[in-house]
Amino acid sequence: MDALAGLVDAVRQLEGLTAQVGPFPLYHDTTDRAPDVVAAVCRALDVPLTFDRPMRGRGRDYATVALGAELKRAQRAPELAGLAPAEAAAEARHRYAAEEAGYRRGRVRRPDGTVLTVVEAGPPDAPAVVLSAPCGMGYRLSLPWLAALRPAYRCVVAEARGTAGPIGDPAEFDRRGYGVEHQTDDLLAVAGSLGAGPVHVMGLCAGAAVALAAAARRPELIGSVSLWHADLELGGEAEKSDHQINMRAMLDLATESRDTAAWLRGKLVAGPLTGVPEGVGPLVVRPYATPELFYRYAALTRSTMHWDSRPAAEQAGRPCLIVTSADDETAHPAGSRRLAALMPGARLAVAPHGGHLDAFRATTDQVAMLRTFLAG
Amino acid sequence: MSTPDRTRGILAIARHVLDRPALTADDDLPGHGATSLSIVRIVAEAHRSLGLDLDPGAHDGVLTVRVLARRATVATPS
Repeated sequence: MDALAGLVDAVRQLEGLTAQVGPFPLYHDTTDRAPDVVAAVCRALDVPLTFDRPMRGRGRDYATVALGAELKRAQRAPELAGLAPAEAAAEARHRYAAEEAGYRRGRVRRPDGTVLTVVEAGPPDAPAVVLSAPCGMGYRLSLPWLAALRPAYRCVVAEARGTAGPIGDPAEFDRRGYGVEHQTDDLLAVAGSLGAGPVHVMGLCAGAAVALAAAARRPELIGSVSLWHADLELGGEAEKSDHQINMRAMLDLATESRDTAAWLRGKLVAGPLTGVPEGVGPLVVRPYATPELFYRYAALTRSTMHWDSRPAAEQAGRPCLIVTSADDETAHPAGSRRLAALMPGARLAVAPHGGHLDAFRATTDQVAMLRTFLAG
Repeated sequence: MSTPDRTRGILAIARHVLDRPALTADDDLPGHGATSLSIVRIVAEAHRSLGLDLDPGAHDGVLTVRVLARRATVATPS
């Protein structure tokens, strides 16, 4: 990826955030090398970032630091130093248009007023693959799968309710609901909107619970399922990682009230965030960007983390591929193994090594495995 | 609550959350496996069970139970 492409990607990783909360202030030193080029690219891509966030007390808001980290890294590329802002803006617009040409955007309106943002790729008449991704991190995290599958599949990802588009009235999010049943209805509505007959559903980490629930609820609509580094509640027989235990405890508290969520978020971002991955950090950290986004993430994700997936696993009755790695420290692989035991005929693939975010990489081997499964 | 009492209380919570029974008050928490999530769990539990408001922010690069105890304040009732 060349320097400007890296900068465009870094800015675009923040477009979902600004689409929800409007202009978002990063710290001044985020653009310590090429402020004019960054500003020009932000304007060209209509991503309203500012670089004037005040320090809070003694320290920084480390979610904001992480949100700006990719941009800070990208703008330090020596090649950008001599680039004129107007030239950078033109090239950014060109790259934006080139990427967008590979995708289609749509909306699915739900009876409760929720509007789901949908991004899809691939031939409209091809077999359909619907992604159930973790909440609040944006569709861009799933783009490697869309890019890899679009030559042969109509591949669709929807953003979770309340995590795309302007925030509006915060209380409306609560009134409309955020439980697994709501999220499952949303996924089924997206699958049904394709008018393509049975679809394949990919459940990616926290999205696995919703994928399974959908398969159990509407087996005539869900032809098969694959679950990648699934984070599921499967009872005491499936060991959980420290991350799962700590995350669940935090989300339990955060959903007590918006005030509690804001207090917890403040404590969380008071120090450097651990485990933020390189390359996609702004997407993964987006749920922590503001108190309201954190509250919504907590509400949606707590629902999936508490949802007992055993009944759905036993009822789904659809061909299922389960993929994880032996050393996934985020979603313990014991969950995937237990799930395979609960689903007769399920195919389990455990890589000897690999991180949790492998669920989003769409590597050549992963794509080949999925295509072989779908062909079978 | 005296600072030694605070230290003992926070240390017990940190040992439980991190599953490190031998953790001492002067051990660097990140160096003993503490992540952002586990630290915020310690903070939340100290607030709930000890009535203390901990500041887990950067402390000159070292975060220990003793540092947390020294900077702790009595939590404001919510």
